[in-house]
Amino acid sequence: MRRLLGHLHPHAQSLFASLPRKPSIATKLPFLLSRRLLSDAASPPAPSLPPPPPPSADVTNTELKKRLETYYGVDEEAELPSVAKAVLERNLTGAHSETDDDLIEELRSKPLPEVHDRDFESDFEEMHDTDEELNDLYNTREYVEKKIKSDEFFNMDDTKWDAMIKEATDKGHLTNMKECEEILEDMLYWDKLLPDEIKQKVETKFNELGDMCERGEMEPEQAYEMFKEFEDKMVAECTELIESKMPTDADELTESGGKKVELDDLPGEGPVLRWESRIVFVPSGDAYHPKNRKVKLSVTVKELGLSRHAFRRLREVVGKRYNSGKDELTIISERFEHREENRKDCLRTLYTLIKDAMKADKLVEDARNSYVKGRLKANPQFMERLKRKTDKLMAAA
Amino acid sequence: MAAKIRVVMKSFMSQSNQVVGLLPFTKKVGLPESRALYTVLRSPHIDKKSREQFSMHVKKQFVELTAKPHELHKKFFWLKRLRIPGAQYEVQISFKTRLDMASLRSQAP
Repeated sequence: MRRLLGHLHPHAQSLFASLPRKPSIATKLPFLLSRRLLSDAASPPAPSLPPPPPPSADVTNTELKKRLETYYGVDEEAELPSVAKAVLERNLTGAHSETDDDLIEELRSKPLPEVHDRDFESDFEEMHDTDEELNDLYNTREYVEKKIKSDEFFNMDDTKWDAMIKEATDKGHLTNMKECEEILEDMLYWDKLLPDEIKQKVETKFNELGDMCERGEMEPEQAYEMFKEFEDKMVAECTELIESKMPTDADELTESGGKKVELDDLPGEGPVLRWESRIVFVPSGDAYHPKNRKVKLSVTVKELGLSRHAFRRLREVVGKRYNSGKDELTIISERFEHREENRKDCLRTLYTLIKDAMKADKLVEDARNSYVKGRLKANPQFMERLKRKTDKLMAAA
Repeated sequence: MAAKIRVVMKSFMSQSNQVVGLLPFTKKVGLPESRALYTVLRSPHIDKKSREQFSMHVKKQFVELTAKPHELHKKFFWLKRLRIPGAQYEVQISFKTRLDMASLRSQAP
């Protein structure tokens, strides 16, 4: 009897721990116990199998295959959640762990129904485009030449360019090029369209109206309307100025004649900057060359209009970059990867040098003042006289 | 001259024929040909007296074009398209601009 009870006790504990708590267990348990008691009387005790799980949570092989066929049949992936759910349920139950391997092998050996070889091949051909096969490799140069010459824009010369322009003009692509160039030039020099007088007038008016708005003497809308009227007046004045300037230009043209044809005359005022850059085209392809990044900038120092002290300071700072024979300052930059960035760097360096040189005047004045003060302080007669004068002033006050 | 384009062509074949098709207002100067001579042994082991000579000849051509600043882009484009396979072009572009001194003085403290 003790052996029987010992056997029953651990089995009962394991059953209680593993099985989920459901009301159906109460009905099954006494039946199980009663069966064990009966069997114990007749034969030795046999290991008991766990009770089967509820059938609602199980998915059979047939149903899984049906869902898979439905998933393959539908083009979109609308049936994928049901298939995933079925797989998860089968894994959770664990009842089909033995048959799942066979099922996986069976499905793997079966080919997928929706794959077309032709589509795959055509995709491959579209993705990867290879050159034609060359029968004679000895004449690769001729082959490359022929390939390059087939390009429409290769070896551009005057006749080809003129033909292209003529074709574009006939088709109507190029019309009013002069007007287009003028517009582009105006856009490029937008800050020089108006004369300085007009700019100053507009600026003063704008500031005046802004101040009145800030002080609360006028409403912003009213100020805006007044500014609009002022702008119209300025536009009219500008047109009058332009009309008045035209005949004078004509007179100048008639008077001077051919004197204005100076190729070296650059527009605007200010020192002349001489730029130099180098571009290397490698024999094959568009490979990058380190010379492409170097930029050289030269400027005549006399044109900068520096004072004597500023000039000396500049000369000390730049050192060998200044050529006294030509009075030329040369700045070279190859710091950045791109040529345009190096050009900006050269210009930035030049601006910095000029600003630094302009500080020399103030420095010289400060140095001279401090020197004079030092000399005066060191003079005892001056200090005594200063002290007496100070005492006299103090006594008077 | 406001702008100038200098081109140095280097190649293993003579380029004098190709220069004819260049742009107008072009000067041509033929630079000396440079050679590199190599003498190597024929045999990997002994036979030191048996040798072979190789030489590499680089022919150069200097071309100078005059241009105006607004023409630089167009001529550069033409040069880029005019490239001959097997030749190296070293293009040196020189041009002038003006420095805006007024803005610099206004910025100065």
